[in-house]
Amino acid sequence: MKKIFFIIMAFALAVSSCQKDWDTPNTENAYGNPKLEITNLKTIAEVKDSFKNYVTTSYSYKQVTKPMQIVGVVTGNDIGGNMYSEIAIQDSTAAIIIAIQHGGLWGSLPIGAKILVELNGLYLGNYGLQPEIGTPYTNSSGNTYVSRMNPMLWQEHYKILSYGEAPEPEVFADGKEKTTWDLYKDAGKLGVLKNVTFKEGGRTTWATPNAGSGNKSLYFNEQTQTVMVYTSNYAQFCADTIPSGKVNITGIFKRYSTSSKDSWEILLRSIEDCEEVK
Amino acid sequence: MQLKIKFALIAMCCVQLSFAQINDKPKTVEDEDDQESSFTFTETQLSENDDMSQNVSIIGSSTNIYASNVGYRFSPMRFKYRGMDPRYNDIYINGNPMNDLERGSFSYSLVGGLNNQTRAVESTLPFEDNTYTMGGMAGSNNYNFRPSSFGTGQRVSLAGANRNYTLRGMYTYNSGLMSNGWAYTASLTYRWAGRGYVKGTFYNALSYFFGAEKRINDAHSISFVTWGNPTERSTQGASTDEGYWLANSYTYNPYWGYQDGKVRNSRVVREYVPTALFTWDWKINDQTKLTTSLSGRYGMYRTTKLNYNNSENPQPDYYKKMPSNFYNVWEENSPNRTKQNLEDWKYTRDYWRASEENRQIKWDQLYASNEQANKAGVDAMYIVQARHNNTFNLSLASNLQHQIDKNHKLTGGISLQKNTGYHYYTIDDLLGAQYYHNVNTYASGNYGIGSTQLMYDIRDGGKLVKEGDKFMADYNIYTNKANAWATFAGNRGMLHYYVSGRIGGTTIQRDGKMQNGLAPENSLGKSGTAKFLDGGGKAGLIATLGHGHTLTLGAGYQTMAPLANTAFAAPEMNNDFVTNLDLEKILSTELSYQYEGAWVHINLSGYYSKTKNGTEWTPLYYDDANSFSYMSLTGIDREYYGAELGVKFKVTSAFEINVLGTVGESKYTKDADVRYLMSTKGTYDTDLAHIKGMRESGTPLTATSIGLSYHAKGWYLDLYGNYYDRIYLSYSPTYRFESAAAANGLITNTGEFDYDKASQAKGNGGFMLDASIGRSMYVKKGSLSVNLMLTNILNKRDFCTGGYEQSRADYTNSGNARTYVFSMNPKKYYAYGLNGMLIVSYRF
Repeated sequence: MKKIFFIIMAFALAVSSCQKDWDTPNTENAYGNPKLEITNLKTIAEVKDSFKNYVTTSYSYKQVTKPMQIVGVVTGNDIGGNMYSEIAIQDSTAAIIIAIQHGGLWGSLPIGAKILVELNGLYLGNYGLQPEIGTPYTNSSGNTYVSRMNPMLWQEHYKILSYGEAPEPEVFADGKEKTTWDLYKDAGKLGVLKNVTFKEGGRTTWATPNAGSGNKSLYFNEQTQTVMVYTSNYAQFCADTIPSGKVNITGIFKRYSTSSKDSWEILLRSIEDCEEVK
Repeated sequence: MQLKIKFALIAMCCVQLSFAQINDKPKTVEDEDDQESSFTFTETQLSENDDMSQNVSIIGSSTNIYASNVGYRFSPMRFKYRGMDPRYNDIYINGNPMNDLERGSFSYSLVGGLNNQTRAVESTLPFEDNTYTMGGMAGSNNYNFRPSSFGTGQRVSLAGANRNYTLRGMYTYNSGLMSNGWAYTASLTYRWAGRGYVKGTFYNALSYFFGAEKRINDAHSISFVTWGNPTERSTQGASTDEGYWLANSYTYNPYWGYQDGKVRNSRVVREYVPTALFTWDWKINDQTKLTTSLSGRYGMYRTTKLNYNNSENPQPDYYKKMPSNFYNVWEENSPNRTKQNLEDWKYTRDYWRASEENRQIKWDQLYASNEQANKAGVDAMYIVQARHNNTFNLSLASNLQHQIDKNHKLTGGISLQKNTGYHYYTIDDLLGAQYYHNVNTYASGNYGIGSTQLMYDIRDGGKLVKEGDKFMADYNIYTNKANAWATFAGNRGMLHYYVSGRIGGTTIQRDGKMQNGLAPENSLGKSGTAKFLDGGGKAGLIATLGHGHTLTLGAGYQTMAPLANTAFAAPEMNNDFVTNLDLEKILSTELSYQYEGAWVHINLSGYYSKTKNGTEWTPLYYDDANSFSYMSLTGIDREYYGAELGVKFKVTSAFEINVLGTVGESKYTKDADVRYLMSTKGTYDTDLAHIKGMRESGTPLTATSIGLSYHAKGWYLDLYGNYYDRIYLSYSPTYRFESAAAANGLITNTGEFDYDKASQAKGNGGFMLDASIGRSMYVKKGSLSVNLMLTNILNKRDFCTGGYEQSRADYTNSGNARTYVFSMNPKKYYAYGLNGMLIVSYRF
């Protein structure tokens, strides 16, 4: 009798296995489309120029209807919760924003990733005259412009070529120096504003915490009202107080143009983009 | 003897079907079916969704045709007796109370696999008197776990099934009461499925039961039994009809995905509740018997879940991944029906249909993202976390039965229970990530980086946590209960009457083990103690009118202390009790008629119950506040009423027809007050939830059945045709908030809340055909039986067994209408198609 119990128990225990530990799988090609090939490579500047009307006229856009590729390095993403549903990519000639409807893009498109993008089927246009790649979106006022594309569509249109290639930010201005950048040529680039002080330094936060969706614009003593830092209420550093002293501000310099004003919006990627100058 | 052992071993070890076990009484095969189906189906469709609790009531009776059949017959649809939550259904073992003290209901998995041990049960309907309690309004059961009561001999059974498990082997040995006064019992059950009926689910459970009993003399008998059911299984998630349509399968399961070609499920449950029960039966004299029992158990329950940080929900049927997120499929005049919207809808639909991988979790992507998190030196984007609910319980009960004279009986008892619930989270798998901090990432951005408000435990400064470490929340709940009850029953002429009363006390307290940054003064350490005194009475009258007619009338009123799991406003964060916490008041009544004739037996019942001042508690994501929140609903009033019919026609000695049916109502009769805490702010807000008219979910409120049974010459043939309707899905309180009524378009022309438009989501019912074929026979040594049970023979797939309305809003935080309409997309579960079990058992 004892023997049979022992045998059965041993058998049962041997057969019942615990959930095993899972090994790290192969993550190559986890994201993106490995089948993409270069057949008609253009620089970002060339693409912008060939679609110039569409990227410089409000509510204008055009679909790319033949194979056309660009290669760029990711310079801005949502790792800090600030750049929502878009990335900035840049090559040696220019930069452009790619709008993708998805959170956590930084996990597949880290800063410094060099990507190949197939533009065929996607749309070139702009948001507030900031050149963008995306698909058409119609807002509640009936205006249509290029905006966030279906993320499943996006997966078919890019391929990671390498990592760790982030460029140094270009110096946009230093202190009270006049800005040297061109709103058309340089929009979307990674840049730095050196030796500046916030108008409300030490007295306010980057954005408005606990307020739901929204954003805040912050201005500099050394620059005009056409240069601002734009921060989303969902940024991780939203509730931090902005420094009172001199800072170097790095970020993606987007163009934002309305009928009355043509300005620069600087988007920090994370709080590390604000460097206090000693 | 040797041969028998070898045979048993071989039978256990191989899947070959051998001959099965005979059953002594004609009903036994069906009994086995009862146990099979009850246990099988409840485990099959147990959801591990946080909002869903086990929802099956256990009901039985020897003389009531409806009650004795309904539990098994309607179990494929997870039927709840009278639409009542199982916390009103009391389960005892040897007179010792076994319901979970925090949730109030009995955990079926506590006796999982113990089919052979749970045959002997004293089932009590709501208005029957018994020897072990004054029960709740959904009846009670007392299982007999004394080794001397189990059928003597050995039993081996092997089963194959295509249900939540594929193989089952069972071995039981019962010595019966031997001449030396000892009785022993030992049993092992093993259930396994590499893949259950639903893809992505697996099952692995071992049940054991050991016990010994000694009849010391004619007066005293003591027994000790211990059992456990260590189980590891993975579960199925509910999806929307859109998801099932895209996957082209009613068993679509969003909880799993491929990792390196293997199926990996994100929701794995591991449960083990070793229990010990000591019982002392004392026959004081021929009229008086005292049963005292002490039970102890330590329950370990752990369930995993994929969580995300600084990212988007990776669940494959997350609303942003659905085609209807891109194109508004509901409203003709929606502005979200542009050419691009339609393109996106088509692209997404094609993406879903292109491959199975596209419909499931992409584990390699989660690991790839975490690789980038490592390179950036930041916290993991995706982790698998585990929620632990462990319990230590000690229960002492003592019940006395005294036959005063031929016509009068007095029973009564006391019970004392002490329960500690340990609740905490651990990191289960970092999915390749190196960093994760004990920080409230939901509130990130509401407070400065590194501020104490963002720390789950200020004392550890938001430290780095590794796999196995506790994080997020850690607290204990102490619940103590004392109960005393008594019943006086008597016969007077044709009347049998009884009066019962009970009085009880409950204390509830929380003990926080983390100092939450949003509640620094009020989270660590012990809370106050909530104390409740409850009680009530029941009375019943059974009139035997002669010629087989019996009339029963019952009424009861009692108060019940609130449950520990609804008593705290946000137990994961702080020590606050829910405001307006008070006793629930329960009124129940019943009128029944029975006719027992030579060839027909009828049971007809009408019942009416009313409860007031109930409490519910739910955690959910509240869009308007863009925050995870904990919601308490208080002042809940409900009504339960309906009719039940059971008829048995004995056409010949072998052939029987039975008819069962119930049409009932179980609904909320009043709006409820809501008080909720937002996890990102630590502050409370209030609202009014217009839940009047909501109904009990996950059970068919209309259920009918016709059964044909032929039992003769060792054959058992049963065919059941069942019809189910009025299945409601769990309601969303936030959709019916007063403050959201305008935004949801739920205000009538006269400015009132539009209850009609806010009607509760329903699931599809219909007709289901089940059958059972069995054959039993004596063989040279012992008896064998083979039994094949089939459910849903017509393979009707669109039976919705339950589900829940989604709690997210149809508009964004900034007030813009979403393209995806949550209110039109409840999450649903569907019943299995044709499924069955073949059992072969041998008794010797």
